[in-house]
Amino acid sequence: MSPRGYDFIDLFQASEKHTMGLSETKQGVEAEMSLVAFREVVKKYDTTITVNHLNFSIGEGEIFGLLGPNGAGKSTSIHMLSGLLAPSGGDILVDGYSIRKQPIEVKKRIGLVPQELAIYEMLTARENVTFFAKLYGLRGSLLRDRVDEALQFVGLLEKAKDKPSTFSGGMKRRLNIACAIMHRPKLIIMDEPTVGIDPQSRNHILESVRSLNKLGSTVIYTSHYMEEVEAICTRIGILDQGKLIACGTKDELKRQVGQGEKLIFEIDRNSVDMLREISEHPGMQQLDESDLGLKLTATVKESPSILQDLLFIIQKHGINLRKLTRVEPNLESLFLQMTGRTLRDE
Amino acid sequence: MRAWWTTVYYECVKYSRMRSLLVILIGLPLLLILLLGSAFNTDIKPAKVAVFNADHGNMRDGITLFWEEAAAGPYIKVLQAKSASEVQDWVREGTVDYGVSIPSDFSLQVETGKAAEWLTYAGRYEEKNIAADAVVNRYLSTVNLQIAAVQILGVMNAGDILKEPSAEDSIVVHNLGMGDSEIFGETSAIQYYSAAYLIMFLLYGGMAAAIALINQRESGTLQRMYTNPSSFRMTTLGVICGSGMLAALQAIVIVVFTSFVYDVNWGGQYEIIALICFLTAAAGIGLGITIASFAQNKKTTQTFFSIIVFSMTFLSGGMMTGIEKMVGGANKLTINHWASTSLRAVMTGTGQTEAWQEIGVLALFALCLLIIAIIRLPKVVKPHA
Ligand SMILES: Nc1ncnc2c1ncn2[C@@H]1O[C@H](COP(=O)(O)OP(=O)(O)O)[C@@H](O)[C@H]1O
Ligand SMILES: [Mg+2]
Repeated sequence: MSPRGYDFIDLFQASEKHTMGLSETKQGVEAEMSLVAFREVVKKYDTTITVNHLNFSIGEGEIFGLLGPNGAGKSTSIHMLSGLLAPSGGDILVDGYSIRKQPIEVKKRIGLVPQELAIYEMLTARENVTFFAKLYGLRGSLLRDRVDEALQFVGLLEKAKDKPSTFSGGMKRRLNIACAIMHRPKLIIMDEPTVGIDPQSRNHILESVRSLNKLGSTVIYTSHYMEEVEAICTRIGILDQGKLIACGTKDELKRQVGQGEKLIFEIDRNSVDMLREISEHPGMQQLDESDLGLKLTATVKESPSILQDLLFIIQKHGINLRKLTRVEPNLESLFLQMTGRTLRDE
Repeated sequence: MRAWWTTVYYECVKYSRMRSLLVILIGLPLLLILLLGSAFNTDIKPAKVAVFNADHGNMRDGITLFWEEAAAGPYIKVLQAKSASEVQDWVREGTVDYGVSIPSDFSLQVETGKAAEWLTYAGRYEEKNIAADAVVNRYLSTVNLQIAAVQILGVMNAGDILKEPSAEDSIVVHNLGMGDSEIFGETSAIQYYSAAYLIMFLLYGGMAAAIALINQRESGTLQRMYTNPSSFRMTTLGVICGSGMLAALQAIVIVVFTSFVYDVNWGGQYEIIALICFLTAAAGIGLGITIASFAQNKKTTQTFFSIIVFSMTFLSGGMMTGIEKMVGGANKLTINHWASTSLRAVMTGTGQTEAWQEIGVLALFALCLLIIAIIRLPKVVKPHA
């Protein structure tokens, strides 16, 4: 639709050249490799520790999910990263710049989509985006193009002349996003962007996170919905009571739990020989029968060959397979296992 | 600097869309000025008095002089009639509000010690009749008093004595009407209230800065500005200056509207008026931010600010004239007092040096409040309170 498209890649190449020259002011070698580095970050309010010695890095091009229940300290961490809150201890580096020492450089590289809507009800959608774009220093035709681009990206270009007071919750959320991306930041931070909106807008937002990432932005995405984080994130950090209790790719996290996947077989008849043979397979952890023996739920160790082996056994006994479902262990159970609590208090 | 200007501009755009706010800050003062100013101003037009003097005796010059003097004041306009019947006709037709016919034997009567009488014709407006009666009675009562003195003390030259009656101080009903009344000082009622409500609503306009900051903090847009690489000081200052623009608009609309529609005389020294408005708005902004830094939320800020501005307006005589004399100097502690008195001095063009002293005190108020506001500002704009 748009002749321009949303192209972050130019900017990245340009800014890389730019930062290369300044690399001597950057803080060490590790920073060269990761876009964001939390180092021993602490936030205290009076005596309570809200964020407790956070240490992790995020590489360029990742979608990093920060998962944790309400009050875990996600927003607090995000606010320290974007310069809204001063850390009580430690430092955060973005693109090699310290949020303590070079906050302006950090802020130039960040677009924060805050948890609460931060838009002006009295200004139109276009005016909202334009206002913040001007504060990012955009002028003239570049300003206009980028504002169009951002509005188009969140699907509000047709509503550009309307005020948010006429918008649905989901549209307001999307405008909230547009106000943070029009300067094509290297790092986009979204703090629980899908809270309290309809499924359609939610999908739209998840989809836009993926596109922003494809176009070159690194994304930090916080949520207390594990399905969302599982669906879109390349790496996940699990935060609980201010502590990072686990961090890694989805698979890495599952391995940490040591919990295998589940395979559900729906078959047209049962046979005792087949059952014995299956349960004797070395990769089998647990085998349950249901639906009068026509549904077998096998909890197995992860290995590439086990599914093939089991399918072979079923076929060997002349039994027809109607349906096969594979259920991976989820982060919900991981969180439960690590903290003894569920992510959402329902 | 650009960030500052951008913020100021968008603040103005937002204010221009808040219709109810504009009505309160600009429409309400205009209405109050009209109501209070005109309530005390109904008798502002002079009574037209037809005078025919048939007397050619010793008293004639004194009488002519008396009416000239009366006509020089603001309450009476004198029209010379050619005959006693013309006086009556004019009153009947409504050409004049009141008629006076002086009989040809008036001097003679006085000189022979008889009670002096003029023929008077009342018109249809009671307040004008009262004003004209008062002028006539002033003359006659003085003359009759002196006739009595002559009778008791013996012969004197009546002509000498009778030059004394004067038109001045003769009217009792006028004191709410015109500029030289005790209550409104040198200004007229409408001038007085124009000044008082311009000041009161400029102070209210100052509150807009604090409210805008609180709103933006609560809605998160202030935090959004803070994650921006442009200077947070400049953008905060922009929000504050935006409300300063609102105050400027208020001042311009109120001054222009009252001078063209209500015929209020602002005295013509607009640069000094602008200075007074600027200082008042600055004091209001300082006060608003100071209150907001303690109150922490919008509602409490609005309540406290309203109470304070309302009390200051009351104590300085902005709602009931004369209050300032009963409050034992407490009026001198109000911003309104110094702003209004200096505005009134500018309006009447009198006491320039006095006006500058008052402007100086006002500037001191504004400066102190702004300093406190700057110290307390972080409490208002800090993203995490
Ligand atoms: N200004 C503050 N003073 C004291 N405690 C705070 C303050 N702000 C947040 N907290 C506490 O810090 C904890 C983490 O909050 P937050 O980062 O908002 O959690 P999340 O975003 O993960 O839901 C909460 O328990 C909250 O009560
Ligand atoms: Mg949060």
